[in-house]
Amino acid sequence: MQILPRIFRQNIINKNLYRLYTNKSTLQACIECAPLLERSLLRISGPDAATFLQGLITNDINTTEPASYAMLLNPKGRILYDILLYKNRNDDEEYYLLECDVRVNTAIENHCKFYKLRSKVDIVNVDQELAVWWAKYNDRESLAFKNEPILRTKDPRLQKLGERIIIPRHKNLSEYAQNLINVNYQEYVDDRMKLGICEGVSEVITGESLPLEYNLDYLDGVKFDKGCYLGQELTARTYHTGVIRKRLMPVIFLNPIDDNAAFLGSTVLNDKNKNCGKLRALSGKYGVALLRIADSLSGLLSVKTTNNTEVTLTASKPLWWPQNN
Amino acid sequence: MLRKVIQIKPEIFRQIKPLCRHLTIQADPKNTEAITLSDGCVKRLKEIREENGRLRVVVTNGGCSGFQYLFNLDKNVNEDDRIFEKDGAQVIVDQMSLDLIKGSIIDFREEMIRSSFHVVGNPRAEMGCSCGVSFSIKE
Repeated sequence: MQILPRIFRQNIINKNLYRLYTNKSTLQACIECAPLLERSLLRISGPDAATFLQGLITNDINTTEPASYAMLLNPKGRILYDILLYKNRNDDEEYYLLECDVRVNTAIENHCKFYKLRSKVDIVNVDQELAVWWAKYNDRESLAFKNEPILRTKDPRLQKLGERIIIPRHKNLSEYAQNLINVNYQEYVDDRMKLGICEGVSEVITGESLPLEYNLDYLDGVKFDKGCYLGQELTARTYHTGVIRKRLMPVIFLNPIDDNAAFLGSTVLNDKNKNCGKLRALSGKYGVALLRIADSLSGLLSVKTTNNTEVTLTASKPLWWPQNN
Repeated sequence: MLRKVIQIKPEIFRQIKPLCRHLTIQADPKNTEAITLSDGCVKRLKEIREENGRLRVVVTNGGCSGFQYLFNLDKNVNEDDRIFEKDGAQVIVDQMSLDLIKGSIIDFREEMIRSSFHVVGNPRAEMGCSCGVSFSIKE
């Protein structure tokens, strides 16, 4: 548990060193980047690839230009996995790259193969060949590549999540562009926490969660006019007839947490001691919780762990949510 | 008023009867590896067979529950196909689809909304979506 603060410190030292060695003008254009080691890629190609994926993902495959956010659901409408989908082409054919949590890449491969039947689709794990990088900038123009990466795109969820870049696994992104500075993966996680976005199987619980509670509609991850896909029925019905009372929201702890495991999944209570949700992710001072919106914005919230430590936190509606909600 | 109700009663029965009929068909319990053809299916196939060959049943991916049935008439028989026959009517199922529908009955239902072939009593199908097009598979 001492590792995290140490990495943080190391990071700050690195940045300061960088500042010392560069003059001010280059510093302003400096872009932070990190390899997303917890993310993995599957390559999906073949003449039926688009039709095949269209039947499995929540988003419309035809809007994947060149990237989209989506989820894979089970027939009952619960989230199996959250994914990012990239469309790319090499010399002779178009193919899709499916970005997912590295812990479930085999599970997703099997999921796809289960529904493949006779479709002319090739599903290959390219985790060993390709890597996903993340870059964060103030101005997208400042990220100029001297060598073209395999693919670069804005994060399809939110602009504030920066850029996603795919390059061969054995290369470093700094070989591709100037003014890049390698930072720790944790920077990316912190950014996600501050925005209130969950990603990967430890935060998006397989088989339990509902896609709209994970803000799939706000993050442009679902289309309601695309036709049938696996798990469509519940999702469409909830959207058209129901109200979504619980959603993922960013939370801030009054004191930073150093024992993440003890808090993850704990119940969040509001100032009237009413159960208003669960903590889904956290990193230091920031976290994301799945909360009943009406109950959790009125005052301070609290979380208690199994060993009776209690911490105080506050929740807020993120700025990127639609104004009328 | 009452007269009117009584008058239309036989009419209703005539429409309900074909709907209920499929419930009485039972798959052959000894043969869970095969496909059974109902009498309705045989009758309908004989009517249309002259021009178009055999009925092919295929399971494809798609729909809200992941899998759906497709029916078409096919003159060709491929290497991995199996043919099921009853009273001269023939149904072709390829091996991959057969794994997902073996033990079921192919029926022809005449309903008010549409008359079509159906796969009934599939032991591997778990639940369907409300539009009835697709189904999911028991793991």
